[in-house]
Amino acid sequence: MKGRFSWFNATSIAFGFAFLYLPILLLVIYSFNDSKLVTVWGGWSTRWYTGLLNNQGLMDAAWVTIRVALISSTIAVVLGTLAAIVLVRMGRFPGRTLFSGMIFAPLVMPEVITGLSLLLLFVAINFDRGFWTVVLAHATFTMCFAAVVIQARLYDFDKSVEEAAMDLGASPVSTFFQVTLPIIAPSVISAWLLAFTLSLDDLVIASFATGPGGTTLPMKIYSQVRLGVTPEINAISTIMIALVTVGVIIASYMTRLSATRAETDKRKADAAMT
Amino acid sequence: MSVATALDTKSTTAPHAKAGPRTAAPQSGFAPWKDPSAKPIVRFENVTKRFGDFVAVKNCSLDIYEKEFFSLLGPSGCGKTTLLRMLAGFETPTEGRILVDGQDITGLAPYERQNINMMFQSYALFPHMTVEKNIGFGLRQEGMAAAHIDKRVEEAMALVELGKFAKRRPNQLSGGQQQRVALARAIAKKPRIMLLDEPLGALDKKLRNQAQFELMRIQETTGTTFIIVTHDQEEAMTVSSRIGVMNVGELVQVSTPGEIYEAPQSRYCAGFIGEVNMLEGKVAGVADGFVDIAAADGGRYKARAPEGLSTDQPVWLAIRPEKLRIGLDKPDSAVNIIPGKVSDVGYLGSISHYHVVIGTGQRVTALRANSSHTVERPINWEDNVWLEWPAEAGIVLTR
Amino acid sequence: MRRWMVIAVPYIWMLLFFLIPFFIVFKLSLSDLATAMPPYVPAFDTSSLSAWLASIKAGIGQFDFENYAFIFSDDLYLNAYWSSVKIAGLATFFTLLIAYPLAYGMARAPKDWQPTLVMLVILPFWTSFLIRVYAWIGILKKEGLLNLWLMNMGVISEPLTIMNTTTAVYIGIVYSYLPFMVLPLYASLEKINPSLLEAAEDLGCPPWKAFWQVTFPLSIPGVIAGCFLVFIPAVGEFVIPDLLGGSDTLMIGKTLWNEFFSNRDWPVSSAVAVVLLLVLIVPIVIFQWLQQKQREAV
Repeated sequence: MKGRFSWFNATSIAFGFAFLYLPILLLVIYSFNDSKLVTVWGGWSTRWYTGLLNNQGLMDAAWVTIRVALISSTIAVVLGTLAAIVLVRMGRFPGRTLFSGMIFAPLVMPEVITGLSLLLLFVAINFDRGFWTVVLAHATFTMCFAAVVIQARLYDFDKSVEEAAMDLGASPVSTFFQVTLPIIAPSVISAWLLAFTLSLDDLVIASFATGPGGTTLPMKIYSQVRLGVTPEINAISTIMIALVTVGVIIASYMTRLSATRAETDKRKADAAMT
Repeated sequence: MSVATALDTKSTTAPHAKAGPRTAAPQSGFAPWKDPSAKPIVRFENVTKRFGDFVAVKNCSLDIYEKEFFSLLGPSGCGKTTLLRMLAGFETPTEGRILVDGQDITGLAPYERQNINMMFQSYALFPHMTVEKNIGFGLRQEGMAAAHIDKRVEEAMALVELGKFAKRRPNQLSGGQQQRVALARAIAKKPRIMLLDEPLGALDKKLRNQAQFELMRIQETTGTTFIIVTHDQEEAMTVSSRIGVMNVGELVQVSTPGEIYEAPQSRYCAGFIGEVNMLEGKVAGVADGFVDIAAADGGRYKARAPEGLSTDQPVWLAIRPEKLRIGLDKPDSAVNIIPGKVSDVGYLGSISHYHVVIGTGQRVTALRANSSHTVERPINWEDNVWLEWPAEAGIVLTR
Repeated sequence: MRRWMVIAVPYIWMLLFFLIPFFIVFKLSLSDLATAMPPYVPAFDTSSLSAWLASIKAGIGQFDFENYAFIFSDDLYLNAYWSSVKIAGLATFFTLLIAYPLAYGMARAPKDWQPTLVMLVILPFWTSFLIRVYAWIGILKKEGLLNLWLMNMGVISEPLTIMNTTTAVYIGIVYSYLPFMVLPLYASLEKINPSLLEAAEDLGCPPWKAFWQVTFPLSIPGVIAGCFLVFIPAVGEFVIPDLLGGSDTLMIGKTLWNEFFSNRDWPVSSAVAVVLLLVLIVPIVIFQWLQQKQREAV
């Protein structure tokens, strides 16, 4: 709804966003603080950033985290797309309620429960815990988020283009790859980004599912934080925040770019018609 | 009655129709449905389609011949689109079979039906492909060589006059241009049977009339069998070689436009196409091929008798407005005359509509061309008039 | 047919990695503790078929509700469950209080601002949860920024102890889960037709009354969705009470973690998890049902 955008509205937005962003801003600023203490401002310095490069433990953990995130989010998107197709297109089949329950439950399930249950599974089947168990665990819980994003898109999808493709001779599988997938691609990409971020960020599930070789950055950060605040954490946090912000800005810029391009082309076409 | 005469009659009743429209199918010699040795290209055999409790199509049997421009006509919900989709393969008949060239295709998926292609009501153009790529899609599925595809795409675009839009995307085209792309995409595969689902529904009036003739031209040039679904009776009358009128899942009548107009087989068909006056009565007697009808208002009507009439059978007499002669003096004949009072006059330049209230209170419409040499004075509101018609002009309907 | 393959792949994955683990958790909650690694008595001896069958029999015979009895007898666990529900409930309420004006302002904002505003709400969510909680440590601790600022302003003379108290946990939960409340609220507020409010005013209703009688009731689906999205995971939250809470902040997520990692008592942890799941099963089922209704309404 629109309506009068009052002073109250503007203030509530301002306060809301201030509340959301202030801690992040402070974090970033203090990563450049030459002093270790928050109460003392020691001047601008990047020593914590250079210190990061020497911190082998943190670097290894970062590398593990990125690899886990890349692999698990790709698996999650493939599984999530399949799950979305099942939810939206496959109609009623025996066991459908159970399936939809299993897909939507992890969205709200406390991570301690999901983490514990996955760990017990790996122990029960005697699967050595480490890098790959973290990948499997992450793929499982992020796939549900991916499925939710993609099924929302599939719901609004105009099926007549798929019918047209089949009418022109494309098999159902062929239709999916030539027609459906390219059209829902933006949703698939944002589902991938969502899965990637959730994996990058996860502490609890990774802690349960991990083993030798599977120490992720959140786990490393968490263990250091328990000992006390160190600006190195601020530094690595700032880097991660910067990466995410740049990524989101590029993504929204590209979306707006393709939208304006389509708009200009349309206007040219309209002008050509008259 | 030939197609040409029917269309001429149409043009006097509908002043906005073209003067001298082209006939739909190739000239009046084309009538394969009359040839007992002709084999239909499409045959629906006792096809029924149920969606749960709802019966969309009831026991339809229909033969369509090659090179026909066949229309399925009816209001929304009558089952015409369902019938078309069953032919395309998107729905499976609950009962019955569908044969193409004598082969049973009932169980085949849409992509397995090679000779049949459809143009969708919403056009269903692939938004992520250019016009060229859209049109070439079906050819790529066949595994055709790239150079050959390019040639066919060019031909298709020339046929629908879309040449300079090859590299555009669907969202950069107008509605009329999108419609042509949808048509070109289906035609590019050179199917033997083209299905069109309300192809002109989304176009505005001016474009629609033009597009009707475009479709006819393309059908004649390519020699493809066209089956079109529409709720617009003028459209059906303009383009078709034959029309299948549907109501609530049933095929009510299948005839040429002229036959449907001049010889409808039911009140539904008579009322659906053009305007008609319906007079009620009972059969008083049959003699010499003519039936004597005792009308509800006490008059007596004479008309050509259809088969199997019995005395006292309730019948309806359908008379087209242009067949009624309206005048101020009482006619000499004693049959097929009705007195009435003019309640409304619609003057449309070349013709006039007269709404006349007759004895029973029913409103009857008469149509008259405003020729310059009329003996009587012009007919006005509140005038007492006489309506008269020849015996051959009335159509006797029993259902 | 191919249709079954498409269904089978994600189905089997979820059965294997989601459903079956729950059964294992349940089974373990009925078992005994052992000090061998992994710390529970392995139930099945797979050396031979007869040994396997025998061990199944022995295993089932060993099943008991000992661990559950233990949980229910010890005040610690019962208090932790109750405290978690209380804290999560209250935190959900506070989140609603802060999120509602924000979402309302966003819905009222000029149309071209709205996508940007939505992006700004989502952006912190993309950055690490852990990092954002960590940021509050620096603010809330005794020598932290908040105390610094308040003391400099002269508002207080002694630093406040917020860090390591339940208050900090509330702040942490509200902060971290805010986007989950704002987005569903915004979605339902944005759908409301402005002419409804105009009609109310035309019929003599002052704006503040129109809000309570028209806007708020129509936003209730968003309120409910947001509350579920915050409450359910917050009950089992671990990171926030661990980093920001004190030793007297009892939350079941922390208890489960300690039971598992510190005490190494897997069977009891499993029992704790099962009971937590039972506590949450009602809200989870209601949430699923609401999702289903919403999808059917479309």
